[in-house]
Amino acid sequence: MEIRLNQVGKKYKNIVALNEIDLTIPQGMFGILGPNGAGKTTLMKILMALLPADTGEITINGIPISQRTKIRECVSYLPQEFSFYPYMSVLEAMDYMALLVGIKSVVKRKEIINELLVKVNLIKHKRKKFKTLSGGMKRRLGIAIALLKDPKVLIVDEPTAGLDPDERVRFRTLLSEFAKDRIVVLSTHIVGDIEHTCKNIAIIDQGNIIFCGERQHLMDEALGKVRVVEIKCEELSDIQSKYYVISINEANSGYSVKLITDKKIGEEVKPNMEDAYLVKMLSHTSDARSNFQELLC
Amino acid sequence: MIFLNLIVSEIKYQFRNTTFFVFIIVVVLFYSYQYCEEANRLKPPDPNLVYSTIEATSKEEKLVLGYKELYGSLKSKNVIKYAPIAKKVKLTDKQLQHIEKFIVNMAPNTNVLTIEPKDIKIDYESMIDYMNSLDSELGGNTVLGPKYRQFIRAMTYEESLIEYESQKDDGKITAVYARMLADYLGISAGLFVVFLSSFSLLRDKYWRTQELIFSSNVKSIVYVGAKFIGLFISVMSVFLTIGLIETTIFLFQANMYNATVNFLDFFKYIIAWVAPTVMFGIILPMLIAIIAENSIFAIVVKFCMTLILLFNTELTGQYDFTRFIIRFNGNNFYQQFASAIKYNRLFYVGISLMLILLTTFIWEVKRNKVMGGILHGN
Repeated sequence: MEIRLNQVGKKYKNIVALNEIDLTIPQGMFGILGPNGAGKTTLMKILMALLPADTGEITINGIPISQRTKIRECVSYLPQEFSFYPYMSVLEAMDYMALLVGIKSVVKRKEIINELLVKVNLIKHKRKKFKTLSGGMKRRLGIAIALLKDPKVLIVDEPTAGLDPDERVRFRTLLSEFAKDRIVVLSTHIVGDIEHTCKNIAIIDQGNIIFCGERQHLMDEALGKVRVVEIKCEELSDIQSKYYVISINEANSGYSVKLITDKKIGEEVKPNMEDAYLVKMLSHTSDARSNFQELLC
Repeated sequence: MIFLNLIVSEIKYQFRNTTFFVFIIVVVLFYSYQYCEEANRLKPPDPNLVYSTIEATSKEEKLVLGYKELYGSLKSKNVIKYAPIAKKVKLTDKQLQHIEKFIVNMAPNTNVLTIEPKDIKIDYESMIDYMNSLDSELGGNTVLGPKYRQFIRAMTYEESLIEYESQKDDGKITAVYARMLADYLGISAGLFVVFLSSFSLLRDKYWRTQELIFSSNVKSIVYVGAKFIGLFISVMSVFLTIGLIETTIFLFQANMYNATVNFLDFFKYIIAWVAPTVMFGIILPMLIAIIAENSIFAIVVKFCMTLILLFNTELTGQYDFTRFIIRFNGNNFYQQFASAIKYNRLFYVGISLMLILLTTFIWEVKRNKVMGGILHGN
């Protein structure tokens, strides 16, 4: 069970969204990380057969992406901006989508819907209208809808955007459970989303895959490049102009600054996932600083 | 089964949609203020009012009316022809000169507004011969020829009474009123259905449900077809309910006035005349909206089309392929136009079915070309 992309390219007029990328996605949770506008959503839509690639080949479990009907039978998609008809209740929304995915029998529909609502912990809220659900509930409903056709592949685009920390953790756990016998492709620009859930990740930037492999390898690559220096207050602007600063904390005599550098200054620290991602981004592009600031925000 | 369930889902949506309730109110108001104002139903005619029109019987009257018909053709420079749909045939300069010469000889130095039988200087047969020859010259089937020629004048109270008694006794009166009701409901359908249909497919986009639906494995024809049929049934249920109300009123009045009524007439004319207008009123805005990805644009286009049509259509008698609404606001001459109306309605059923296929195709194209993140405003 795997997804294979070979030399996949996509352009929107003069903008290169995907630059002939190669990627293999194995079974389990797979994270696609990248800043906004990196090409993640385009990639997700291509994988869902909602958008044709200009070049290259894609197969999902051996099925070419051109066979859209077959692809849609085995792939589910939870879009970035998941929403539903506000006037429908949770139950009605599930039933409507169950019809669209082709579950003919009323009895079977009820059975599957109840089972999924229990799984995503929405059974108590099944009579609630969509418009009255919280952000987390809506996302969980989205997952339940995506799982209606029992897909082999689940594609989730920016799933935790707008969720509070509690909901975010619960949502990640939910996805991990579903990934046991499926491929779950999780696209995000939030490092925390994949830090504890995805063993394998890819980093995409400006339409290029700049890293693909195990999460640990990314962390290993960043070893020795993340350091913490203690500085006085007046040195801060100087440090910021010379180095890529990851974080600034107040210390006794000034600041404790975490930064990325090859120089042997300050004290070396073990990089976390976010540090490793920033190191990778920095090494890839010289103008990545603005993206770092966005991520730090 | 899935198709039926999706249709039911669309109907359910319509019946809890505020716009649909506004639509019902507008249609009912239109029915109350337009149709009910005019509808005398089974009540006997009032001697103080003018009722409908009738074919003239005396040759004197026919000569005056024939003069007016020829004068009208001369001024409009065309003649209506049924082939079988009504269309205007343009008259050549030579034909216009002939008509002018003929009507000058027919009633010299006469004003068309004040013409009387004594002003006519030729006999009835000569006028008929001339009309027949002009009809043959134009290829037959014109309003001047023997098949479609009519000499119509306003009905007197006595004639109205005779007609009323005849219709009351042989059950024709429900058909007369059913046609009039279908005329008004057709206008409602042409004007107001667009406010529902233009949002039908784009609703998914506005509620940001589109990608989820696109990525499901539903067949495009099933999805678009269910939306169409669901809305069609919802709208038709409103019109058929009005038909039911009218039928009920007639059934009550039938007892009161000892008349014969046909309780199927209202349903028959609503289905035959109004349904094709509803079909076209649903699918054309759906298509425009999905191409332009803008419901308001579809509303503006369809609403303007209907207004232009209404302002350029006579109350009765024009049924060419451009008339997507059937206007038949009169009591008589139905048989003369029945065939033209039938072809017109069949044409709009056919064109609507074709537009469903085209809309499905466009929806499928859009389904396979959803733009990426940054270009989608994300």
